[in-house]
Amino acid sequence: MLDATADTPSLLVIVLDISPFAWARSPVAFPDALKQCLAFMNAYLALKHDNLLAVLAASDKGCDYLYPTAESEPAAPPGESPTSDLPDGNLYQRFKHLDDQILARLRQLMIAPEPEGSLPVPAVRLTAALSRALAYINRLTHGDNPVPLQPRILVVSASADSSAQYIQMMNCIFACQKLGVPMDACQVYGDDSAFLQQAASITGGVYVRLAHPRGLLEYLMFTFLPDRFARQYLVTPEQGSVDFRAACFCHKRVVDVGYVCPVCLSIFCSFSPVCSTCRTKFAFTHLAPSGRPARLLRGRSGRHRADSRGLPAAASGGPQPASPAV
Amino acid sequence: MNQARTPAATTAPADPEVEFIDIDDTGNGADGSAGGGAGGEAGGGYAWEEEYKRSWEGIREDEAGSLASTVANLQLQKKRRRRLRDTESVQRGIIRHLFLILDTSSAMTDKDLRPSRMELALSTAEAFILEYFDQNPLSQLGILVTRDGLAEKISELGGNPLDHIRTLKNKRNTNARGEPSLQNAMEIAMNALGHAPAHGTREVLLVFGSLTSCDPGNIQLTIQAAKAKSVRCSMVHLAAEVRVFRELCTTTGGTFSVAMNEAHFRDLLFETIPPPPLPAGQTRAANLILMGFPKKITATIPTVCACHNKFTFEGYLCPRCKAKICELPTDCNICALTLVSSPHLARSYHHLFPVANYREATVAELPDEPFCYSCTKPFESSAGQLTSATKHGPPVTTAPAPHVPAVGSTAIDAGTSRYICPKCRHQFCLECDLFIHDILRNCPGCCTTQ
Repeated sequence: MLDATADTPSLLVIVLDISPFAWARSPVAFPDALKQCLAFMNAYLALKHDNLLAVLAASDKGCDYLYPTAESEPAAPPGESPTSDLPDGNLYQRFKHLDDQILARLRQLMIAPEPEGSLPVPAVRLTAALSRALAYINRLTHGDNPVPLQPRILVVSASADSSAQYIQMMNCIFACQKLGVPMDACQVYGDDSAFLQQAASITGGVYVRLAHPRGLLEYLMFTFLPDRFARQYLVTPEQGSVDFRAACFCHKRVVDVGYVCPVCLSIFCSFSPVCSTCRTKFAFTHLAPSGRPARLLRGRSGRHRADSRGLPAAASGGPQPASPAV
Repeated sequence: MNQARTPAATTAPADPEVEFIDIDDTGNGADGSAGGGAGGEAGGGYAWEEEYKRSWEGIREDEAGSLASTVANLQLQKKRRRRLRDTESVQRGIIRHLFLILDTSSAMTDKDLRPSRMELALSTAEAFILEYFDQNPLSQLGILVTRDGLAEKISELGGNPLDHIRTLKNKRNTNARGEPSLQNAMEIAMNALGHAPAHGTREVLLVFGSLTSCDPGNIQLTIQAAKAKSVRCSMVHLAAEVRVFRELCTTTGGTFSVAMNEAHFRDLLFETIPPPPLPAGQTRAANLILMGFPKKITATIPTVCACHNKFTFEGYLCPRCKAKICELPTDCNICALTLVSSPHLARSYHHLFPVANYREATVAELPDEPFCYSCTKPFESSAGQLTSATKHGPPVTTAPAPHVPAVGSTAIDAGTSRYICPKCRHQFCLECDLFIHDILRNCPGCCTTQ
């Protein structure tokens, strides 16, 4: 944290989006991007001999560790690991071990069968990967044998935000903040990701949306390679404006102005008589806290009301299958 | 003068922790109660009747003559204490208005709690304030002190933790002398809370060290008034139970507890940080609140902000009237829209969607996963032989299939030291269990399946 010095080794956890749907539309093909990411990981390991690295892959099927894999966890020296083949004369053993393992695990994941049952929301399991990454960081930095480390997370994302994961994402962000882990984010193409922007802004990380996705490696090297200590002396890319808007619970739409349930703080984009999360019944009068003229509010919120779809409050379902006991 | 004085109360805080072997052998385990002249019941008798705890006798060497496993076991015990959480999904009052009433009477100068009751109360209150605002970002807090039979509001209801802490650090505010006045303090607090909007809760948290209260009128009327205004009062007492204090708390729906030692005091105070569940029968006229979620902007040319009329580069734009505001959360100066950022709201969501308590795996379930799902720490094998280095934890006892009670098991040695999420059936280590429930508040397994 604050006592990090130039000599403190880093712990970098990379969360890699491997969703085939997202990468299919990307200007940079996945194999290319993967190559560039591997080069970045090698560069990171080369910076300091005791730098630690973990890589998680998140797809719409689930998420899993790419490196270190659980099997190789009792940290065998890189050269003696059973997964690495004959030593390559042209490649540093540790790099080869890393590359081999990540590629092998990726292949495993790609051919893995679909999880039984259909998942309710087809979205990249980014929050699952982040949660596991944080648990991993917590074990290394606050576990039984804590070692001084400068932990950080880098998210390489190619897909858009999934608003169903909003609460989980925010929980991850606050956990990052509590552990003092900056979350860097690299949005490879497409629109800005509001979640990742917020994450970087709250945790003190760096968010970059690539203007030229083909130059992924260059962005990675210049922006995300330096550790937290080095960043004090560098000018990191700033975010001009951060979108701190929230997604409503009823339709998962991002709203500017919304109605908030005073009991459970659920956000709704349109007025509803009953809170779908906590079943509180609302009065129809006085929509503003300060007793503003209702006409003013109604006129303003007409836009939101117009596109509400009847709102089946109970059927819309909260973001989690909470069954509120009232 | 209504001098509330009760003899030694025999109902000391009934908490489940007394069943545990006291791990720290500092010996002041029940000093708080003894010093105050009242009884703390620990293990059946009064604290002063109890023999000195021989905590060292509980430590045994294992076969190899090492103490490591015993020490590890004790540490494990300590961690498991904190495992049980309330995961009921109930209505909670999340927008809170709380008055912290600190007793600054001469009783607080007692040194039975180290370094003194006053110092302990102040330092713990500071930590409390920070944690309170961390978990209740939309809530407000004010501080009252009571001494010389009077009460004084030293900080108004407000949302800035640093202001409150600055006030507490001011020695003039916390100079201990005279007697406290419960009634005066309650009247001031209730007056101030009267202005709180209807959608928020009204609470008073009292930290008292004195066994007496110097009141100008009938305290019973004040208690009834507090109940009528639905002000929820809780008290953590540093010495002993006093009947009037307990009555105040129970009548208004709060909790009353007596601190046994410094750590216990901190625990008791921090227990009030999660927003309290609303009483079941309470049907309040809840109104939806209209809130705006402004966008943060950084301009190259400074513009005037609506709150201070100063030129600033950064700010938040009100989504309704486009006025520029410097800080959140606030009300827009132009259109009076409540402006918050979504993180402020999101910070409270974990109170609403708590992670289910994990239950300890039984031996029959063991071979499922060899590693902790979230941190990939290898589990010890079911046969009690360690798959990895012994440093990962104490050896498990190889009792033939001990029946482990489900949620909330506090058994000490029956552990398989792996914990199963009841929803996603993934297995986690104890370290991750604590981390997931205390800090992360996401189940990594459930994130995958949702």
